[in-house]
Amino acid sequence: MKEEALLELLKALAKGDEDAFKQFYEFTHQRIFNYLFRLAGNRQTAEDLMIDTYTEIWKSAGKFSNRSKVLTWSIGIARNLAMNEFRRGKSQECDLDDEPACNPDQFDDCSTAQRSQLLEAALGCLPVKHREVLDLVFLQEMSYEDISRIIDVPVNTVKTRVFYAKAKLSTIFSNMGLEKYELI
Amino acid sequence: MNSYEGNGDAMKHLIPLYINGQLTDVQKKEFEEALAGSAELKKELEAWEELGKTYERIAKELPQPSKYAYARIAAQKADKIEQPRRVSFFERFMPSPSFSFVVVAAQLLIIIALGAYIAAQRSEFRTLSAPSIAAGQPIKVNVVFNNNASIQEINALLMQVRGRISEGPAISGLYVIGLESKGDINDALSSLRKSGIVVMAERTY
Repeated sequence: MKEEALLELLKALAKGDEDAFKQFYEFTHQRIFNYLFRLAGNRQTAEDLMIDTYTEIWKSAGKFSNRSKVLTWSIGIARNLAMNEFRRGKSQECDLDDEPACNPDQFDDCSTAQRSQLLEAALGCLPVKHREVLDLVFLQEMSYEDISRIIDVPVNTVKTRVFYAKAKLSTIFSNMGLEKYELI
Repeated sequence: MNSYEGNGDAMKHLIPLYINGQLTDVQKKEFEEALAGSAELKKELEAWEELGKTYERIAKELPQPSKYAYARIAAQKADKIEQPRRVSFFERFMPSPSFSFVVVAAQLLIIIALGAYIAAQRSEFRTLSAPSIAAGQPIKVNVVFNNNASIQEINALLMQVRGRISEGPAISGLYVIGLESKGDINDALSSLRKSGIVVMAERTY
């Protein structure tokens, strides 16, 4: 859905229009859920957070200042709620700097493993804060400016994290004993 | 020198945005011109495209939220039901800051009670100290009574030697007795030592 249309829906739901809110949900929920699922790692937590996100969107729609895109603003709300929840619960689901343990044995036969599967496994080994930016670039198809607003860091930091993540993937491949599959 | 070599980092940073379609028309044109003239940039693009394809596969495998999700949102929004928040163990038992004040107050009470108990334990003997000092300049004598000396026996002995307890008992059981007259000191000491209820009697200097 185009940005202008989303903005109109947001303005309407800010005035208490329930139908507009439902339409807004229909057009945006999968993307917000995808973002939260990649962050939280499980469906139930992602859904709980998504529900809180839309409740907050309903309450805060009137405060949208149009300085960012509607979806950027919405995902920003989702992220803040997720981070608060993880900090409160000291969940293991999202420690931004944690590197998940990687098991090099998960690919017994490297020669037959799909390269894409290897990449996906390597992505799972990235620290959350680096995987998050790649998710926002490729899954959410966002610009660096949008990402910087969501995660509240400068644009250059976003670029650094994106390229660090790619370099880290090569290192992870190497640690897995998969040098021949090394990313360029 | 092609534009990539002269502007390598800038072009490199455009690669992910070229793949996800976030470049403006002007940026896209500039990038494609650089791409045409640089084998290195093409190679980097291939690596990023591979990552992009992996994400396409990931996107297809992402789950959907439940069909009841919107109903939960509507209910929570209208405050019809309270959504159970996952509450940590700590939060469950410490709902407000005032709880910490209660804890501090309880600790203070415990400390005061312990202090009172310890003070009471030190008072092994009923003190026989006089409420006021003896008149004049009494001679003082250090005395330790037998453990089994009764109060009546001690009072009788004090009357006999015309003395009053001015200090004690200390933890060691030592009393300081003030005698009314200097002249009686040796008699008093003798009487004390021979009383049968005194372990030690010596003049205090």
